[in-house]
Amino acid sequence: MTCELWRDQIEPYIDGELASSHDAEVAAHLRTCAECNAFAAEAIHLKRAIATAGRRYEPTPDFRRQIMDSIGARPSRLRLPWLTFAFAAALLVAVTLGVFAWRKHAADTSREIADIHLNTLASANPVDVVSTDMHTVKPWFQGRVPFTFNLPELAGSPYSLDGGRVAYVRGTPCAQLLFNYRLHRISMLIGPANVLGGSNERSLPNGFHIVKFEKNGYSYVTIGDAGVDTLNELSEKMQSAQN
Amino acid sequence: MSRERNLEFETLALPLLERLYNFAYWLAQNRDEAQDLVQETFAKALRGFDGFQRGTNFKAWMFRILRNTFLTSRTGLRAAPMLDIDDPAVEPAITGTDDPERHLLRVRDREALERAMEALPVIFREIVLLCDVEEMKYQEIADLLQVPIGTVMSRLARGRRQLRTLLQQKELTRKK
Repeated sequence: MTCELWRDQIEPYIDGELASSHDAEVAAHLRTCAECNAFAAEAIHLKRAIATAGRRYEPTPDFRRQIMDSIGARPSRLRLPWLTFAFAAALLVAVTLGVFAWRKHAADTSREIADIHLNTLASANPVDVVSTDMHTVKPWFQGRVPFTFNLPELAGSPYSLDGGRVAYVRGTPCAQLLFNYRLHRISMLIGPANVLGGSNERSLPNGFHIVKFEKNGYSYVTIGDAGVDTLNELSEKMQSAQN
Repeated sequence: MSRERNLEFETLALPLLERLYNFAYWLAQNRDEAQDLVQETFAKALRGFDGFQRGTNFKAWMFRILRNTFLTSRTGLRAAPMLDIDDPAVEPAITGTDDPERHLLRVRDREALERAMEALPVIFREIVLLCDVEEMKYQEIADLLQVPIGTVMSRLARGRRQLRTLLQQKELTRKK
């Protein structure tokens, strides 16, 4: 088959739309043909870039309310006698204020982490230490962040390391690692637990998922557009490496 | 519609609001129109929900309603191509060099990519968005657009090719 014919197969291959037998043929060709390989690399970058740039517009909270109203999704008001209601409300306010302050902090941090991840993906130089080798990436952080961590062995797993950089969350230096999983890019941020928030799992409205764990006062926050299971698996590998 | 059915619609439809709105904005390129499209989509879907078959692809169903609403809107009618878009003979000529390394640099410029996506004819813009942003399978897209899967493949390939051309042209214009 000429390269021109292979080219027609490369994008469906990247989209995961080829039958497995055909998939292997294309993969074998890409290993031997530098030109098609470069084309495939570009196609992957284009696909990833479209996925990021294409998530561009968000509805306003007002519009969301409008839609909810239109389908009758507004929560119906409690019809309690007002005294009972006032008492219940006062009690609720007291409890909620504390919870709200904590949740707002967690939500804001998740947003900030999502912004960091998005900015990294959009950047021409997403990482400052470019290496797939954990023995290069780990020492690079020495002197750059005031803590240390171990990296898991990823050989033979579907994950690969792209490199790392220092990211600032609430003005505190954190380590950011960038991983690849198939076409997805995943960031992991490591920093003090009081900066990176509690250890709950969240899905953000822009399609990103966040998975966290804590170890010795540090939080390890994994974020990406891959499925929660994928993020969990990477997060667990990281967790095992800290033991 | 029964209260239970209404609740079922709400549970299925509300999580799609962000995605539908994003897609509507990309199609209409205008906030007010995007809001109108989404509003109408939700209204139509709620009215037709009794006809929706449980267990089938709800997301694709909502996107199909949105797309059909767009196609019959003023902007949609204006954007509808006058030519046979699936005829490869009408492909615009590709100018400049076709160097993957150079593409790579341009692709990393998010703003340039957004401009190029905006400039892409809507028939290509929608398919690229459905595949790369909504991560729909070719078969899902074929069902949604009501075209054969081969058409999805060729339209997608042509859409991406045009996107590369547009990115390249943008770069050339900037250099002048």
